[in-house]
Amino acid sequence: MELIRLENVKKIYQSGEVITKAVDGIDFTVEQGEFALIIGASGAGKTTVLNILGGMDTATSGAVFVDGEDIAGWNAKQLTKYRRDDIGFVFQFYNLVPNLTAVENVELALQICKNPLDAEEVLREVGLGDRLNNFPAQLSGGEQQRVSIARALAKNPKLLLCDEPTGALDYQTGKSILKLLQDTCKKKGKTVIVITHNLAIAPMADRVIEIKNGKVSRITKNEKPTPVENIEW
Amino acid sequence: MKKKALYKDIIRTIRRTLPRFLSIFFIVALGVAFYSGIRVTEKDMKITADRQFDDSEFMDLEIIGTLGLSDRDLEAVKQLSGVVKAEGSYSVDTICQKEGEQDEYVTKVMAATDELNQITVTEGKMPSAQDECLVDEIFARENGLEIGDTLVLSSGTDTALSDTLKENSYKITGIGKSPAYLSMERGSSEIGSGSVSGFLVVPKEAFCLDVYTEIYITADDAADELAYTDAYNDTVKKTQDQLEGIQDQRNDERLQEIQDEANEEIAKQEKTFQKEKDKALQELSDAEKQLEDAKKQIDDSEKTLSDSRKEIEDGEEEIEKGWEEYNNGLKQINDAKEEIEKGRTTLEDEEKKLSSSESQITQQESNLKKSEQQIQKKESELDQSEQQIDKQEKELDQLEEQITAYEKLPDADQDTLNNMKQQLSDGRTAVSRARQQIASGREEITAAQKQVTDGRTKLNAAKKQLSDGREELNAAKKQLSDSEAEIFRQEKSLASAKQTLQQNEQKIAQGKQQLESGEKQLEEAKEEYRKGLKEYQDSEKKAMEELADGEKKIQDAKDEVSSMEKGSWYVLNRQQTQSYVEYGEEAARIGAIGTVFPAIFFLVAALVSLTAMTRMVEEQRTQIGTMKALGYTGRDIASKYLIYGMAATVTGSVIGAVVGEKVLPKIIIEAYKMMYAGLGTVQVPLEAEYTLMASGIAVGVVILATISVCYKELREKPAQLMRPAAPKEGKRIFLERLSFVWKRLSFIWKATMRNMFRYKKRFFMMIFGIGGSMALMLVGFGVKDSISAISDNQFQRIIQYDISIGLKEGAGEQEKEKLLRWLSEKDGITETKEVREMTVDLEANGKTRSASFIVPLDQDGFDQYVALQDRITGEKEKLGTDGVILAEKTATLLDVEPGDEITIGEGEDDAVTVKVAGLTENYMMNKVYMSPELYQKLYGRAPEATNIYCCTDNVSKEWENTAGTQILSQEGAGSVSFVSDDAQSMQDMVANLNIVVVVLIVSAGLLAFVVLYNLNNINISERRAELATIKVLGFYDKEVGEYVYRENVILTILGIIAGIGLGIVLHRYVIMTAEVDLIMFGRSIYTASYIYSILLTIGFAIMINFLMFFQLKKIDMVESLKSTE
Repeated sequence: MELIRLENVKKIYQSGEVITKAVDGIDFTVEQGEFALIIGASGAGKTTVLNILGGMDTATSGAVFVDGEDIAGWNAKQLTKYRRDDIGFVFQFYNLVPNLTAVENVELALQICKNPLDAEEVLREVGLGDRLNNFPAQLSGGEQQRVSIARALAKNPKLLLCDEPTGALDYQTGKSILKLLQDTCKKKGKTVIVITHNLAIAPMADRVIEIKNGKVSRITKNEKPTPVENIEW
Repeated sequence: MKKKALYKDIIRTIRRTLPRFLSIFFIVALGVAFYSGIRVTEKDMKITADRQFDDSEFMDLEIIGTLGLSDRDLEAVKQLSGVVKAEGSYSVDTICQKEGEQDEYVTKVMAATDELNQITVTEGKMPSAQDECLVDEIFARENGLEIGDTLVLSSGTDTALSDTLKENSYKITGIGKSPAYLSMERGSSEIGSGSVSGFLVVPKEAFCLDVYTEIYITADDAADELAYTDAYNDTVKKTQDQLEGIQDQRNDERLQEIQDEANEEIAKQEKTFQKEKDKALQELSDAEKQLEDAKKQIDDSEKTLSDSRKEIEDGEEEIEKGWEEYNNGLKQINDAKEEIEKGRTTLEDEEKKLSSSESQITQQESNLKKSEQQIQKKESELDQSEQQIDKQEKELDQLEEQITAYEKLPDADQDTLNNMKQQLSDGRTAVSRARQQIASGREEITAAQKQVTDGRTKLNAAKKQLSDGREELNAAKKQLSDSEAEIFRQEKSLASAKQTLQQNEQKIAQGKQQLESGEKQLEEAKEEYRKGLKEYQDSEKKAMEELADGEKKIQDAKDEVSSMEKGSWYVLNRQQTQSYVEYGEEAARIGAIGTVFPAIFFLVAALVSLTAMTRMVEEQRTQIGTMKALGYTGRDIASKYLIYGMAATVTGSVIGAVVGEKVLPKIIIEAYKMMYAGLGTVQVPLEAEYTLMASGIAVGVVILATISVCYKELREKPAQLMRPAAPKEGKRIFLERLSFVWKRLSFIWKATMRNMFRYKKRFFMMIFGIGGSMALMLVGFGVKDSISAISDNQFQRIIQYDISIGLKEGAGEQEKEKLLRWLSEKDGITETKEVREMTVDLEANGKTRSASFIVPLDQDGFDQYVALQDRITGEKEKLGTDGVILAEKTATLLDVEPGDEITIGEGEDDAVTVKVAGLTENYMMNKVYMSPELYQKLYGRAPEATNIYCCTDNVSKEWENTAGTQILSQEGAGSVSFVSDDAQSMQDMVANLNIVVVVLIVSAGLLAFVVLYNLNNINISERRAELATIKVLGFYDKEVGEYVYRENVILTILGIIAGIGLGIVLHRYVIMTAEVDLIMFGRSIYTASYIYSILLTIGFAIMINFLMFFQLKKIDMVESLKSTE
């Protein structure tokens, strides 16, 4: 089943005489339960795509169907509701609230959610059962990212959007985080979209969307994705 | 330019962070404006006064000599090196009344001076003639005096006004003010009510004094110095020393001068005396001679009078005799008249009798005629009857024939025949009867005819008698009229005799009158003579006494001159001028406020701008690292922030200082001018001292803060700097240990609590900022409360009487009783009480204060006029015999407590020492209350009433106006004052202070606004990423706002609580320092003021948070994707 469909999405910034086409007509789809990678070099437009997909920004033109609804024309309030109910977000720099403990950071998201999961249980699932009451500053980068993922998952979203989730992590930790994401997708059937510039991890995804100069250059579909522990880069 | 890029960066930074730059700019400007503005006010007040003094050439020194000051004294003073100008002048205290009005005021009459102490004429012109005057502006305003009105003066003492002033009534030509009177206070006097109401200025010529009463002096160099400063005082002191140096010599000379003058005068007087003596003796002898002449004249006229008296007596005797004769004649005539009258009556009776007989005779005659006629009639009747009878006899005869005929008839019926026989017999009987009757008739007629004949005989006799009577009567009548004519003649001659008598009588009366007036004249002449004699004797005696007296006086004067003592000088400087000193104290008080108040304001402002700068440096950590990595030195990098900070603070402080120093002192001094009406234009020069101090501190604080932050940052390696700073660690806060509380808090509240305590710097800055402005507002309202408490309490709760009537100086018991009676009948006045109210000097612990000394003549019910009570407990104080009750503030000023002793010095009486029994709540003026019993004990006499207090019954202003005039028209009333007027003027004064309060509140409000804005700004920018993140998590704008506001709400509440505490302390301090001696401010802040301050603070907080909401909305979610910078 198709969860996401982008049709000729454009994002054009204009400042004075200069027109910047951050995204210049993108089309792709992502199926329900897929692990999708959006890959591109810096400035290729992948973050713009993520912003549009995450309801943080709106497209200049084109249509963005999520679960059958076109969010491209939604107003700020509708988009907030969309973020609140349908999207789980994992940031490159974790973006945990520093003076809330791990469990509290998860609870922060749950406060506003319709069908939240239990915060402690989700944290246990991501492997942080014994660090529930630690503050972010007391956790390693990988652990913080796990809290961040737990925070996204606990909302029980339709779609998990991850922006360079391993960008600030070392190789091993990054790998373990990717594994967590892949497992989450496979075991829980969650649709996960990861944005990265790391082409090497492409084999682990069900679908790889490559973006170049604001356009989709290639879409690859892996019938048999490789588990991440088997990939070296 | 070597580092052009750096400067460009600075300018771009300013442009990009304009809100932050402006907020630093404004907060510094506000702080500096308030700090320098309030601090400079003290100096500006002094400058304003100094300018007024210099412009009007207000004296630096004044000499008052007990023996007066002569032209030679003035010359000697002018010779001194320390004296620039000196001018002699006159002044005297007088009682003044507006022409045609009752009110009496004590006024100081001063001579118009040519150079010093110049009067500022506000209306009209200076007086030019010696019966013109200029009147004190405030005095004129309070008593409704206008140009053209006339004032009548009296001395108020035993000596005549003409000893000092040539005229006693003065026409107002102008209204003005004197530099000697800055405030409304006009000082005290020894005459009248004891307190001077105003001054009058008259030309020097209006005074008839030989010597000056005072000399005004301008000291050398003093004009260059600012009044009230030590420099000024020192300069003046030099001149004062010089003056005191010549004082001894001058006083010796002055004494010699007076003695010489006096001796000369005595010699002159002696000469005059001798002349007068001779003249008096001559006059006496002349008078004696005149008296003798008069005596002789009197004797002569006495003789003449006795002669004429004799003549009159003789004449009177003759007249007496004449009257006797006249009366006899009159009696005779009257007797004769009576007899004639009697005769006439008899005649009339006779006549009446005759006429009645006549009518009787006539009657009888007619009766006789009637009888004769009747007789004839009867005769003819009888003849007729005879004829009838004859006829009847013939008929009867016929019947007899018939009968006989009938009898002859055979068929004659026996019956009818019988009948006819019967008829015939009857007829025969009737005829015989009638024949009989006629015969008797004929007999009667014969008798009657005889009677008539007799009558006629009698009647003729009567007729003869009657005509005889008539003849007799006529003869008597003739006789009567003859005697009447005789009497008439006699009467006439009597009347003429009477006239003569009366004429003589009149003549005698005139003679008598003349005699009497002559006697009276004589008596008068005698009296006059006696008087003249006595007068002569008296004046002789008096003249002798006077002459002896004169001789003695001359001797006394000679003795006095020789025993005359040396006088002394009082050299007074401005410190002895009451209003000069008072104003100085006011300035010092503002100075005291100026040290605390703005300091707090300034501190808040400095701390906030410091926080802003710190934050800015921290934010640009990465950039600093980059610059450092590029090879810029630490100094270059720091200079960017320093320049940024300096640009904001220097411009802020310069503008703040200019605005503050120009605006705030102006507002405050203008408010003070309401009370110090003598001040001229307000002077607000920029004072470098305060500008530099405020700007220096502001710039210094910001620069130091910037340097220290930069130093901290610059110590790190560029590599570290380029990495984001380790986020501030989350920490468990104290509250979490109290798990029973913590568990109860919702998740959001937990987060709020942690956030609040995480940024401790911000936490305290917020509380300090909000608390500071809250405190300032509270003080602003509180100051107003404290001042309005004076009128609220003093005139509502403490002074409960409504009118105080001052008895006229020297009004007697009778007049007072009359006034009291009048008052008791006056509608609207419910009660009255007699009171003794005097101004006295209280002394204790070496301190002296002037106070109202109040003794009710009867202390029953005195608490309905004045509430004597403890301020805090409200407990009533009772006037007893063990001591006086002192006003709370007075006790503080004298440093006494209940149980201590004070000395009361009243007028000429000896000072008494008395215990203080209790203290009473009182807000205006020094007061001491004593029971009449204690007064009796201390002074040995009962207190004498000077005032009458009256309570009224809810009366209107109009009632008061008319009642005031009515009361003053009563004999015993000298003055009248309504408590409502005092309350009104106090309220007006409070209204003036609103300006100061508004300044405080507006400043505090601005401060609150800027502080809150700034701190919120910092808060948001510090947590930009965090807020972006929660937005990405799907928080609605409102929820994001709440996430931030929750902290603000708590901080605002905490700030308000802190502000209340700080405000109470500050208010207490300000009230204590700002209080003047005669006034006690209320000590507490009203609840309404707390509410207003809190609401205003909350209002500001809401406004700021509302503005912040837009800033929150603008936060870009994309920031969450970036690394923290």
